[in-house]
Amino acid sequence: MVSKKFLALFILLLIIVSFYYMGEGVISLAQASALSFGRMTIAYAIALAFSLFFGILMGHNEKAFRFLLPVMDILQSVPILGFLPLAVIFLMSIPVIGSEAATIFLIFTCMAWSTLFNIIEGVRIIPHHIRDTARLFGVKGAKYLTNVVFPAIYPPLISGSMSGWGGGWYFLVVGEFAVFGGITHEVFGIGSFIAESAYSGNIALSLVGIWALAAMVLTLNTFVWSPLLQHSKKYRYGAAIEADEEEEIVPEVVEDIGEGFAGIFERIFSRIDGFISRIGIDPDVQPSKPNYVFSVLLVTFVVSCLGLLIILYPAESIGPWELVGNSLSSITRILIAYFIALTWTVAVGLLIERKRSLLKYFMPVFDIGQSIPAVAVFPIIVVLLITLLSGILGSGPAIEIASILLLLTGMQWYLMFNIIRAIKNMPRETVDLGSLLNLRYVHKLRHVILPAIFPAIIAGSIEAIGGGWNATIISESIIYKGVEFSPQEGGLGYLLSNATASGNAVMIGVSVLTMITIIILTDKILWTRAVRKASKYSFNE
Amino acid sequence: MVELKLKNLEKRYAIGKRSVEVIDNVSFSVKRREAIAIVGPSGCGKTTLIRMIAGLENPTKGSITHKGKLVIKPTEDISMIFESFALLPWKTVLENVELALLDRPKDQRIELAKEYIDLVGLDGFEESYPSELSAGMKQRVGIARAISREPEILLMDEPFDRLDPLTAANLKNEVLRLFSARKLNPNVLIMITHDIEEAVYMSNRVIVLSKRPSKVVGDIKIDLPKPPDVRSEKFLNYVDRITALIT
Repeated sequence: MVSKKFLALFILLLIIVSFYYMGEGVISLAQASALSFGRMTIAYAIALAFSLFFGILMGHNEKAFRFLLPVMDILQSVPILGFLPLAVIFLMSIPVIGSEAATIFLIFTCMAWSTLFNIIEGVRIIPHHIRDTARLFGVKGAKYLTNVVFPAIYPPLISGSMSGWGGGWYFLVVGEFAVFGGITHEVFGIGSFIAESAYSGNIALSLVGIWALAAMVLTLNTFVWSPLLQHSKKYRYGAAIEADEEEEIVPEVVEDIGEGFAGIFERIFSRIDGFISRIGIDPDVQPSKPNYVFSVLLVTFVVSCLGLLIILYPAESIGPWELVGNSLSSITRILIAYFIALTWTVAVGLLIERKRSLLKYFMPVFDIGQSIPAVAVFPIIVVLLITLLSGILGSGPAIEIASILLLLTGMQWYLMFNIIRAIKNMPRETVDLGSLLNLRYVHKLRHVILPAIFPAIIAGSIEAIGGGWNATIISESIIYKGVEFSPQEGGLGYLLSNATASGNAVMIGVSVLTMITIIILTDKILWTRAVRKASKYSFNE
Repeated sequence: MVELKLKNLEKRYAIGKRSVEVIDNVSFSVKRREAIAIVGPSGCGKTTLIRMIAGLENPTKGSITHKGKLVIKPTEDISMIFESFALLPWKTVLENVELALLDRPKDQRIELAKEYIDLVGLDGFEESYPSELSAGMKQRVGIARAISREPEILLMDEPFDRLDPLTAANLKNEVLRLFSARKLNPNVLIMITHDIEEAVYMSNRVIVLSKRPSKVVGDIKIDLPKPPDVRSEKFLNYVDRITALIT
């Protein structure tokens, strides 16, 4: 985490620079930031209510779990931007609040999944002896909910919320400003401020906007999430806090607010005690187990829908081979960006392992880098690359490179943070062992360090590839000064944004369903196995 | 014959802007065939001390010499057993022991590793992973790995702390047996513990450290047969004497 001193300096400089550039325009910058923050908060409140309800229900109720899990799993695998056409076409038509509703809905779709799945997991890992204790003392229904379930899901909820907010910030720029052919979806906020400045050619102004956004993210992380995360560690089951984990002082306010909420909840929930017991929230309920039959059925259903669309509407959709070709283009770009990201992040990780003191200098850079949502720098990358590189390489390769770089910005941080965390969390005695045995560096690398960070590489890869799919939709349809640039080889993102622009519902369906199919197949075939293998490499036995 | 010599050892850490003194002027020498137990209240810097002897850390002031040579980094001659075993979860028992022998040719390495796995009573478990072993068995792997290099000095950092009492009692006797049976290496045993009875049981000399910053407040020769009778008056006397020094 960046220090408070650093943050103060960061904001002070921002104020000076923005005054210099914008004069009284600073007020509109502040308004834009406030509006965006408001949207984020509303979207989060909805996501929180949604995931608390479904998460706790699914964690306890076998039926709900069996049927909702595959549905949620598929919804989650829809690249966030896959919801964009839906939002733009349907929600926008609501009078007055249409645009706002669309934006908030889009931000909600970025936030809801990480909290939902973390809560389900949080319920499932309540240890047996805790359930038994609750049964022994007759703690059930509302009492069980407030005394056992809520504290148990608190730590995963906080970490899920952090990634949810990260996802929300990431998406803000597109959520507030999206152009599809004739339709422009725009609401005033920091995201649209950044995008509009860049697309109208004012890079400096766009940078000021990004700075303001980063300041907002850093402030929130420093004063809200970081203390909450620290505080929630006390509620973790299992692994004790590592001795050399950085200690942060948690303000007592956190405790007081927490207790206040607990009191309110207890009063509310005691009124619906019967209902709570009826839906299965009791200590004697075994944690639900996933049922794969329904998952397989649902995946088959998705694939059949895709096939049906292509067969039934040949005029509106595209031929199967063309679809495969576009999919391969997107996959290739994602893989190229992935290997670039993997190479540099592992290299930096190894560098930090050799010289831990470097971490001190890297950390603030990473914190700021990560707090700048990748999508926010899209417009600038686009403008720079297309104007600079087109002259040298011709516009085709320039767009292709821009497209891959855009993907990279949406992928690399996931790997970076997972790898650094793994390096930091390597048990001291394991590090000692490497020195004690005087292992040569190649041996140490092969036998100790690389296996130790292997689970982090897998976890980071899953997030990075997911992030990559999210980014395809913007990276394959780049709009600059009113002109659309798309890579010659096409891609699924290109198909989707084109279909949205022309209002072709069949093609929207075809491209979204294809993405879902690819993502689910990768998940079930590749990632599930990789995660199982990685679990053998974990230090907690 | 003096094997290891610690002279005016001092260690300070920088915590933020403060400098904290962990070890304050510790000196002692260790002779061949000595089994030393270092005891002290928790947080007194015992682990720092043993890591310095291993060459994993360097003292702020003073020196550690092994046979007259300065110990500034880990060497072949000094090996260590860790409290948490420090086994690599992705390697089998055999591979974990092999890790200490990577500089030997492959077939020789495997043969040697197997020999030491046998020695600690784990034959048949060569292909098991650490997650499949009990805590006692894990520490046996740790011991096999540490002595497979035939170190002259074997360091043990609270080696029995994570074992249940019965397993610990067994393993203690086995370490004593290994040490007395092997006329060659390791010829010096240095153990860190906060358990006074364990210290008297395992060692022929107990060094008592004060609370932080640590000084040597007692250096007691233990004159008991190995393994000693823990109910004998002599044994209990030693325990009482050391307890009095610490509290």
